[in-house]
Amino acid sequence: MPNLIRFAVYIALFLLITLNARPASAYVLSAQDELPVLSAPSQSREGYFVLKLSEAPSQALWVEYSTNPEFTKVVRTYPWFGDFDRMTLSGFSNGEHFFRLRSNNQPQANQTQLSNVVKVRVDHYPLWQAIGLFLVGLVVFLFLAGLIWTNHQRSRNDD
Amino acid sequence: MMTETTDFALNSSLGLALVVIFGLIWIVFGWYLGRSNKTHEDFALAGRNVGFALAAATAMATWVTSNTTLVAPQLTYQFGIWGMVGYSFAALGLILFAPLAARIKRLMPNGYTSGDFIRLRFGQGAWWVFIVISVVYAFGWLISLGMAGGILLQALSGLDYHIGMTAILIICVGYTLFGGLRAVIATDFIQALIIIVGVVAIAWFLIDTVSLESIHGELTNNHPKLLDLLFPAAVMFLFNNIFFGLGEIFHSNVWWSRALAFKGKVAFKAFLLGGFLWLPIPIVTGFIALAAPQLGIFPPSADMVGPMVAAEVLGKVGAIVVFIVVFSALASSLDSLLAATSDLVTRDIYHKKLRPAAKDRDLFRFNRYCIAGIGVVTWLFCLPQIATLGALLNFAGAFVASTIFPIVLGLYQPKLCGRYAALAMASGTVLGLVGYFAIGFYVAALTSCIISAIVCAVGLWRSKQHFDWQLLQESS
Repeated sequence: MPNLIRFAVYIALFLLITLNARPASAYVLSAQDELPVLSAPSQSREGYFVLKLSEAPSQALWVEYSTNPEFTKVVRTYPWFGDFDRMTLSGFSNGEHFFRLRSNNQPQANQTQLSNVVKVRVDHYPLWQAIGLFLVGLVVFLFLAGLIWTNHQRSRNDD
Repeated sequence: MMTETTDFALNSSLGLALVVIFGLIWIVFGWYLGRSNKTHEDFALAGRNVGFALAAATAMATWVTSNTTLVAPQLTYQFGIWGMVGYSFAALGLILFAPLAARIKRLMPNGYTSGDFIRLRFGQGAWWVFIVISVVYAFGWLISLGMAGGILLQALSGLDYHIGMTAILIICVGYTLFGGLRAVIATDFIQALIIIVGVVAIAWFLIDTVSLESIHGELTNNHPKLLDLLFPAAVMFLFNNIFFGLGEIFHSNVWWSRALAFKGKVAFKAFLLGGFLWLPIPIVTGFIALAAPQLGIFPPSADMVGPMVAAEVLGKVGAIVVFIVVFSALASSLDSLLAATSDLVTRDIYHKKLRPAAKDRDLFRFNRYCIAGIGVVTWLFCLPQIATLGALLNFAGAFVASTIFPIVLGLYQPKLCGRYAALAMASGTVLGLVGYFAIGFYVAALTSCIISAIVCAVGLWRSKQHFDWQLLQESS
């Protein structure tokens, strides 16, 4: 067998061995364990942030969102995805936002467990700062594009 | 005991099967194409004979990468409309590189790498700064691509991150090792077709399944900043992203090796067309992320949102399409970067510094060892999943944006000397990193570029030299 073909076969076998080194099954969740502890950054300047669990969940979870720490009104519920230990949320306006975990998708159910409450304060950059950077970037970009274009024309004419 | 299975779009066995099938197809194809490589120049620059269609396709496909298929949705999920539109402006990198590519081909018809140009044009001091920047960037990009492979499989099938990451590295190292740049460009052409058809199909099904009105309503009510055109962080991000893209393309040997490999005057038109073909792709891939809240998808990591949404909307068939499209996009960039980085190491370090008397056969062999070695080092760096793709890439922005003005002025202005070029790149990088850590990733590239431009301007003002362009005509 030529060397290259042998090499290809070895790579394919190595690939197969590597792929079978871990269990090839999806994660299975149970609904009877304690809720993990929820954590979050205290502040976000961009309106997005990551909620984290103290450990990977062993049951289906939902995150409740409210604009007050007592959760008198739950604004939105987010389903937790799979057995991952984090969730990324985005698009929040300035203000204080509160989150907690819930173990059941039926809030009134008897066996519903609730986790600790975390607060994220969203404080976007001032608009003048953003517009200032935008204008600086625009000026530098136009200068660069003009530089390339005029030199390109000049070098073509020289040829 | 009541149990509930996690809702992944593909089961793990199907995910594994897809990886194995794709891996074998690309490796055998790379081997088939590599049979005609007789010299190191064949291997590294595809015989300098790439025609227009392949040239435009490889320019577009290489730029469609984890950036476009995973990071564009990530930035849209984080920055909303501006993330999507702003990301598409990275096409300006390809478009503005078109005249530079024509100039490169004219000045250095027998050149090999971007490092060659820096060494001959600016001397050793600037070359060292440039090599450090290139290596940091190349590994940053390689690591992000390897990570993206792992993230993709994890998001679609729940398979462990390390499996996908390892698989894509082995596959790309395999076919690049056999086929060199010829295989890279040919696979890029096929991958470009797959990417365009696949992305359009996904967007079509998405709009058909989830109406624009419902997406708009959900965002307005619960994620209002994503629709806000005066979203401060997003406005700050816009030009930073543009300069990052310009820096990536202007300095990287991925693009220089293509400019040198393209036939005759093809380079200008190929990069221009590649840029315009690329422009709408991040809009489409980014749009997918806007549907996530409406579908109840809130990803563990923002860079997983694209595949998760597509798989949710399109079901198992859709997940397979997503897998094929994203895997193609990752492979088309990873192979290019492996080839270009190994060329840079072989030519600029091994041949020019360590073994000037090396024969063509030695270069050919060393280049292959180098591809395998870079693959192993990348794998080691990918093992700990240290950051999101976007954060990792934008860290490199502080480095690459500092090269924009030295490269442009170095190609056109005979007055800029090596001392100021080196100082521009070094000071731009350092202050860009200061901006990255002190303010945020969305100012790193912009700061770096501005500082570098100021140093170059001072250099031109104080310069008394007049570079002789003939000095770039070095024999190989």
